[in-house]
Amino acid sequence: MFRFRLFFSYFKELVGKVVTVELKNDLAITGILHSVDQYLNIKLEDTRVVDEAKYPHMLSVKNCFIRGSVVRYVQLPPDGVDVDILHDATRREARGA
Amino acid sequence: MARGLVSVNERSEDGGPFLETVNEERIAHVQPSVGIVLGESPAEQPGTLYVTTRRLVWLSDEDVHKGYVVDFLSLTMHAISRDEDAYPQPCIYSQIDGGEDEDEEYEEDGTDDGAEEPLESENHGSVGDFSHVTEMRLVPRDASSLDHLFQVLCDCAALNPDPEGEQEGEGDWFFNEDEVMSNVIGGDRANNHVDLAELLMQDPRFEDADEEESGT
Repeated sequence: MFRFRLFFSYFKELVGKVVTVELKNDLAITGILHSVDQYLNIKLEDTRVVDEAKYPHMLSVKNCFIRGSVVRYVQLPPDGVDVDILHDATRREARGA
Repeated sequence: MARGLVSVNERSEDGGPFLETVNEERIAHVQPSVGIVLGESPAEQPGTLYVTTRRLVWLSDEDVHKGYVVDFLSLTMHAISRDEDAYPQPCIYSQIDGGEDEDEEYEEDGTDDGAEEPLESENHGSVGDFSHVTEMRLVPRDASSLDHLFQVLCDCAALNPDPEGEQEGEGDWFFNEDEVMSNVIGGDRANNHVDLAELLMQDPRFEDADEEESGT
């Protein structure tokens, strides 16, 4: 669970920002990041599905909980990332692992 | 291990589900008067929803041999749906991961919507395999209960992380775009062996998480 610590800390900083979560089953959901837990379970608010034609049944849901283990990617807002800091912290974490 | 949705045809004497004492399963929440919608099928109701610390169980109020169970390991996401275009009533929308066994024998008996060969469960009679069901809605008669129900599902889902050692995708770390584009896995990272001291930055954002955080 150690490598999650980095992501957990980082995602907590993104609370309130709009992210797009792509699941391993290709579903992509955009919403405001409400919270994240130690397992990287993600809660989004005001969510909408990215590809509505593919998932018409979901359309817009208010509050959404996504199981951390099925997340493939989290697309971050451009203004939410300090790439240099993230690079360095990632290297540090990987060396310590 | 994610099993997906299965049907159950037995229940305990008090009308609720059999709990799996081996993993200390407890009932977290009971919601009466709930309809269940599996995939594109029409709503089945009325029923009672039991949210346990391990699984979601829906038992029909009218047919004591009808019920459905999905474990939280299989519940990939759940959400409150108030969009009438998606479904006329406010409900919990959820997606289910049926697991990797998609080559099981499949016999169409034509009597219901794709129930498979009954499997023997651990103790409690036969179960049917609904692992092909990937979408499920829970429609409570009392729509004001949705917020609480959503939160209970979040809390119980958080009690069921994937078991250690079964996580896929724990691969190598990619440090820069060149590495990603050239798909270097386990390859030469000599160009990243820079001075450690130079790289260390005491950024408070990357402090360890507080242990009491539960993310709920």
